[in-house]
Amino acid sequence: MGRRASELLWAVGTGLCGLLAAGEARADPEVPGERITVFRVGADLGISRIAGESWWQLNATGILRVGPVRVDFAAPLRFGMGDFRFREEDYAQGRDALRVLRCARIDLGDYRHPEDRHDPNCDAYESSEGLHERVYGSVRLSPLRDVSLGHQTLVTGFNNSLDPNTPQIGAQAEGILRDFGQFQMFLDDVSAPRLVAGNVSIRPLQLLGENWDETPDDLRITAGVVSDLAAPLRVHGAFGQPVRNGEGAVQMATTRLTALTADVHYLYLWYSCVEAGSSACEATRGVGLFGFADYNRFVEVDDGDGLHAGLRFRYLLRQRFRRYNGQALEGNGVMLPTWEVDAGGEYRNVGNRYLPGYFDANYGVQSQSFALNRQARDDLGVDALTTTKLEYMLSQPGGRQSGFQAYFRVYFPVPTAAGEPPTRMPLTLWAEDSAGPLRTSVGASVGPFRLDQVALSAQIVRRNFDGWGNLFTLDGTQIRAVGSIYLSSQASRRQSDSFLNNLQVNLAYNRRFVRDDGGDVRSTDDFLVTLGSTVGVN
Amino acid sequence: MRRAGWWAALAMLCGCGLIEAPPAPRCVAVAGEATPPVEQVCARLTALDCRLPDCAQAYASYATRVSAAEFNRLTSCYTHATSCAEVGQCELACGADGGMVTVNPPTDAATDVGSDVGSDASSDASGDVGSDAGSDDASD
Repeated sequence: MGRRASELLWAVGTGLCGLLAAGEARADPEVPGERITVFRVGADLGISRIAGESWWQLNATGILRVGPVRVDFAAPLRFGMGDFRFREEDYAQGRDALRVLRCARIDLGDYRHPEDRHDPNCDAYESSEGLHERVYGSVRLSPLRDVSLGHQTLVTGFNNSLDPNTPQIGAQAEGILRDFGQFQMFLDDVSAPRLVAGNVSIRPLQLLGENWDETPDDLRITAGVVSDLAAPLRVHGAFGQPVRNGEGAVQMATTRLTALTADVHYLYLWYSCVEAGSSACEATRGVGLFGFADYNRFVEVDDGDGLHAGLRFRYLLRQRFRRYNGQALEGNGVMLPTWEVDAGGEYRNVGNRYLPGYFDANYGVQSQSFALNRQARDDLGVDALTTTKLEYMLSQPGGRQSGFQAYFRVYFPVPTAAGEPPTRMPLTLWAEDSAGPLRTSVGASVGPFRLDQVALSAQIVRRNFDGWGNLFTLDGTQIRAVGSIYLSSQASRRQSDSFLNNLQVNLAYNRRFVRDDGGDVRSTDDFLVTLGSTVGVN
Repeated sequence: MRRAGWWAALAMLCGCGLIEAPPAPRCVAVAGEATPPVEQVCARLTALDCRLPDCAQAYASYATRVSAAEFNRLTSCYTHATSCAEVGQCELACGADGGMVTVNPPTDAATDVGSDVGSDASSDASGDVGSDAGSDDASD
């Protein structure tokens, strides 16, 4: 094994030297958004820590684009710190080939922006011209991070790949048809689908002919469905531990769990010009109210429904920009948002067998083992490791209860180039509670956020505990953060597309839950730090 | 089921009937039977494809943390279970009054004792292991 690992390292090292030698690729005179094909290869080298063990990590990376199709890949090779042992768990099963895929995407519409470089977020591209001017579609395959639907009352911050030993490539699709409507779908695992979700929205006022440019309001009606095709109902156990079959899979009974959702929201903003220009207003301020009502219903669960009604205050600044991605825009340019603040509350009337945000950041683990913190474990006693989320929900007495959520989001505009729109970095905070046990949850997220030299996404959640006195503890808290930092600016990379100008630091931190061999679910702190680069042709 | 009307109809339409909570668990232990030895219990669990990473250790640990009577019923239940699902019900129904088995938290001492008891139990195949271990633990 040691010899094989050495040969592998030698091969990759040679490749890396080759890349260095080829470092001075031609400068790219084109505007990055105009390219049709992209081919880049490279390597990252660094260290990682997984479930308490440290590894040298080498990634063979690449980016390939042909028109609207783009594929990013990174084949991780990990070797023990002490014995240089190759981490065979990474490629022990056929499905482990999936871990090579970072992000595969097909984008219709504005796919030529932004520049093609590694971005750990794999999120939908922003529009340069506003929602109503385009038809946009995006289908992306990648590990899912912090995926939410609608007003986040049922699917909130969902992650699929919590276990690095079981890579999951999920699918997301989004579509926008001018300002008439849109859809969103996702699938948790393309190789073994279990969770499927989607919704469709329409804007009735625009369908009736109203021009969104001339109206300060937005009415949207959405309907959707979320289904776990094999929701764990009961994990089988002996001597207080989950039992496994011959292949090592936890033995459990599963069932289908489907939720239907319907929601409506209405936003009204009072705009005023705060900076008059010679030909048009250069900046406007919008102040208004955003109200919404969601009704979610688990079809197969009695008293498994929830009504959410929320009201948020919104403050929005919009500014006129006449350049985008280095190009001058025609006419008076475009008005785009900069600062934005949303703050408000939500009342909930829910069945006792309904948990708000049921498909959440922890669902991959909690669907099998609901108790992720000490309070939940104490409540469930000897059954703590084998009580599934669905089983816990079903065990609640019938009836209804009230609850609330407090919500705050601010978008920070981060300047990019002179005269160009800023990148907006969202920061979201929320807290919720209701009368039942283990119903207190808090969360925060930053991003996804993409700047010239930085891409970042982070999420922290603590769910299903009791009492606000237990707010600030890591017990039962999940933290996920991923980011990339380019050491050179985009302008430098355009002038000289060299190895050195594409040097990039990749960072990831996961405080996640892992079920150990004994069946216990515990927290582990994983991280990754690598330095790498790519060369190629944009 | 009190509001089964409209939603139940919808559930039937989409082929997704109401999920019932898992049935009340059953303890299939045979009363008066001696506590099955560790080999017998672990062999039965393996035969049912309900595997534990270290069954002997789990047996020994529980022997020190569960009362003798409950340990007897629990292990008997495991040996008479016919499926993994039934195995999973044992712990929920073989406690006092048909409820959950009461498991005391592990202590370092108990863990050490547990390891020893596991070995003894393996070699002696004694029906008294549970009660002995339980007594020892209690006296500790």
